[in-house]
Amino acid sequence: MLTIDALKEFGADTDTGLQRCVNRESLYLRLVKMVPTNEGFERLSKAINENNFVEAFQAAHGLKGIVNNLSLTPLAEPISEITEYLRAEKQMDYAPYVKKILEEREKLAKLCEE
Amino acid sequence: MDSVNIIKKIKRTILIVDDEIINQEILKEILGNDYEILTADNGIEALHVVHTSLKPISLILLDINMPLMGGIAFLEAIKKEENYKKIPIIVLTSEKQSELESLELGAADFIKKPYDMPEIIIARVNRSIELSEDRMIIRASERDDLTGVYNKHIFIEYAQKMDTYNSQTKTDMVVLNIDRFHLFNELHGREEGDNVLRSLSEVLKELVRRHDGIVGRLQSDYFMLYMNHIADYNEVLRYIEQEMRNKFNIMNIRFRLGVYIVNDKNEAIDNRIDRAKLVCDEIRSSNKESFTVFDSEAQRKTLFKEKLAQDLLIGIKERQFEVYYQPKYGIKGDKPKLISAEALIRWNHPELGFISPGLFIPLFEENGTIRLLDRYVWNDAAAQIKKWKDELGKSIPVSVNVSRIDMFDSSIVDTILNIVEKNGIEPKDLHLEITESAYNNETEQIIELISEFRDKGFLIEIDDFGSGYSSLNTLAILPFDVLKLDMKFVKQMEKNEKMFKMVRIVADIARFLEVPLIAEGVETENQCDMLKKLGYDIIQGYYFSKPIPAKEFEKFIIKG
Repeated sequence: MLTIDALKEFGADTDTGLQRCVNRESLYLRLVKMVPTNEGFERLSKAINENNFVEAFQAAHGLKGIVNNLSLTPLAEPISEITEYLRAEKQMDYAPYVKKILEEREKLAKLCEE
Repeated sequence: MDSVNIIKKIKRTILIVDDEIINQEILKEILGNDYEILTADNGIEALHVVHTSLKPISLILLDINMPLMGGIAFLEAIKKEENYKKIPIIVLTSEKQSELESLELGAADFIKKPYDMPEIIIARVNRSIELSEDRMIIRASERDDLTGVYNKHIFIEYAQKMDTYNSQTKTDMVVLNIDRFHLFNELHGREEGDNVLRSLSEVLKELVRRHDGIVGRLQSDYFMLYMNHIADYNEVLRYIEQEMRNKFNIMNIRFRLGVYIVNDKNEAIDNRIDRAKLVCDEIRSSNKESFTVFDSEAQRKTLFKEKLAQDLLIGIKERQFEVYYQPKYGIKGDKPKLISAEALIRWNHPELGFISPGLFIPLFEENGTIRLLDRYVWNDAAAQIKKWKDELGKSIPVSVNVSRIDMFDSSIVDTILNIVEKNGIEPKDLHLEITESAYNNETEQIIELISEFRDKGFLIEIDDFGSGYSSLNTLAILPFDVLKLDMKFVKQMEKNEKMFKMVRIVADIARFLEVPLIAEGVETENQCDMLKKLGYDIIQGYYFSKPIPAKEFEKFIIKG
């Protein structure tokens, strides 16, 4: 069962995330559980593979809002960074970011399944 | 519970538009206690919710990046919808660029992502709703209920603001009125009339928008416009009529415009409206033009007239009026002989000095107060006749004017008889001058009245003969004792042959009717000689004397 302690261990700023959810733990945990299945991850990954940077930006931007609102820091950091690079249309290798993001998503997904 | 508290108690509805369920859920949790929450995943869905929601939506929380229709496109779309464009919208964004763009598009506020603490979000939402509702309340109290344009009070306030911010811009104050609107209302009903007023308001709103102005409703079918100066108001009238026809299918309505071009921005807005309305109303009476531009000379005259009308009663009470006498000379014999006099009124106004009777008599004839002035003259003249009789031992008849309006006073004969008796003179001493035009209408009634005067012993003079349109038939049946030629014939007879011939014809008529003939306005010896040759009996005019005070007139009596 997903717990606040587990999320803390994962690196989430749960105090801030909880505050945004009016300190309702059950709501916060329910929303966090929805994150790993968000279609934005697949969209981002696919768009980067296809060099579709407009679509990649849209996906990253959407994810950024969610993970930041829930203060899921290990996800929020790489997603925020890639979003800004994509916004600036920076010519670079985005694959390591996607890899990192997907790894963190996996970690979170595991926590949610436990 | 007062209305404000009732309003506070109502649970308002908020629409959250965001494609991310998680974001929706967080906001729902934060705001769900205080508000009913509706959600939409994108702009298209949001528009659908706005259109179909049974409850009015008090606020929209709007994400920017969404599939199908994003936040910016939604903002652009909803701001075009008259019924919904006033719903306050808070944009949810993490981007500076979107903040600016959305504020420019009319967003009320924005909330940053990641979200601030819930208390801050609640406070911002509450504040936006309150501001918007306050604006609506202010808007409602600022505006005319029927038409939605400003009421007079607010119109004046905004006009002042316009002056403050654009002190160098030339502006016009315009009052617009619908021609014979009461008839329209009677013919088509009040509801249709209200519809015209509403449609007209829409047209005027667009008109003032084009000329950087404002529009308000002054009263019933009067509107006021304050806007940048327009050179051609024919164009404006055409525009209004065309728009009413094309947009509202309203035809056959004419409008009047009173225009006051503002020269002095320190002048009270109220005054400017009054002046524009004044000229607008003047068109109503003239029925010729469709617009008039205020003329300060015309205004000066109107104000002068108003002042005179106001001051009449006090003038009578304080005896500011003085009766002057102009001698009438018989020219039949070798030497002219003083026969009688005409009493003429002069007004020595305490502020304005001597005022010409040509200015105030037509005004008092118009408003009916001439009756008071006539009685003033009759009394003074009667007393003067008696005085001259007593002091100089001579009986000098004095003619006085009897205005047309006096003829409809059923007790007029008794009134004048009373004055005669009270002053100890006889009816034959007071000649009654009745202007020719008075005979034009109600001839029978006038004939009856004049016959009654003559039966009592008064002498009747037809004044200004030739200025009216008496038919020969009327002349034949009218009872009168003396014919008095209108002075314009004398003035022109030396230069204008037709006029001279008319003067001769009138002499023939008088001879035919066997009545004495008076010519007034005689200024020169030549005129006097010509009239004598034509058979005129009596001459009045500057040739002998201008009208003079009673005391001076005594010299003429003594000389004879």
